[in-house]
Amino acid sequence: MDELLSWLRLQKGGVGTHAEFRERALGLRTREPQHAAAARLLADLAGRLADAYDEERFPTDMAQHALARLTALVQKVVHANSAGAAAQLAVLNEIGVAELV
Amino acid sequence: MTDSRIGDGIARLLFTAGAVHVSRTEPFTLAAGWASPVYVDCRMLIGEPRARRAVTELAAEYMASAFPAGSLDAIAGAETAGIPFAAWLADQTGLKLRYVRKRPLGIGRNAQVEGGTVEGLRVLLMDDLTTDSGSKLAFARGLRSAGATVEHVMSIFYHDAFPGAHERLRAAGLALHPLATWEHVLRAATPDLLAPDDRATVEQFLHDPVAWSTRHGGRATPTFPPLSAAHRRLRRLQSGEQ
Repeated sequence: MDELLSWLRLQKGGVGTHAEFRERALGLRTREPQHAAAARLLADLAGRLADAYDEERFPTDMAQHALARLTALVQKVVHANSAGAAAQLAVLNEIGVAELV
Repeated sequence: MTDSRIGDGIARLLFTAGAVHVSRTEPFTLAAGWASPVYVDCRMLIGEPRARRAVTELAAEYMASAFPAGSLDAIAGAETAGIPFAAWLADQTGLKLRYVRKRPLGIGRNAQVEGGTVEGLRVLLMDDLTTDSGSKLAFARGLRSAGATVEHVMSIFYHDAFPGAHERLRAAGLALHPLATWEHVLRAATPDLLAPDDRATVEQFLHDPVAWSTRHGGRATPTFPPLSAAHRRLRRLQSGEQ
């Protein structure tokens, strides 16, 4: 998850970022099974945006907002690693109801 | 190489269909992260019978001049917008039609290519738009994994502003065949089709797209995937090095 966060921080947030994030997050499920649930939810979240805005107009303000929101959520997952199960569950639930735009 | 007459024709159709959008105040972020004041929506060509017939005829004309007769077996439309164009072009040229998904679904048959097998077929990949070519590489990979020979990509419009698309495709053994580029669009852009202020914005952007993107919060540098050993060897051979 740390690696995914580092990669995301280098991106500019085009639709391609979200499509690739989906693939990377899905791949993470087998490499870091302790993050499988978070990775699945994050992949769905970014993937929904990639599907919705692929081939569509994607204003830069919206792209920057979506990238910042996704980065913040991944960061919360990383921080919740050292917290208890309740905190981790809270983050999962937050991602479960989140949208990036 | 794009034929000027065909390119000009496509550009006029894009304007007539309302496919060229310029925003002087709010830039768009393209798929690869570049910021741009322009967005071209080739799907606007789909709706009107006259426009889609004209595009299909121009594309077929291009194919007749670019590809020797009998050198292709099928046209594969790229999900989503490439599919209708591929279907009309396959009808017009009498070639087989397939379509290729952006990615396999991951469940069920997990197929990326639909419409029948492509095993052993020489396939032209057809899409509406090319920017940095990233999605074309993924489509070609999917077709090749299913057994197709893919060497050519046709695109209604090529957003030929940012560096790297041709190089990336070449490195993957693909030649890009755009029907129209910015050169054609600007040539077709009479003041009634493109307001002078919008034209100035586009010209300013095209003068240095990377700098424009950087200034407007988009990507600043092109990135290329590392070349494989085979590609490096091929480049050395092409440049005459040992």
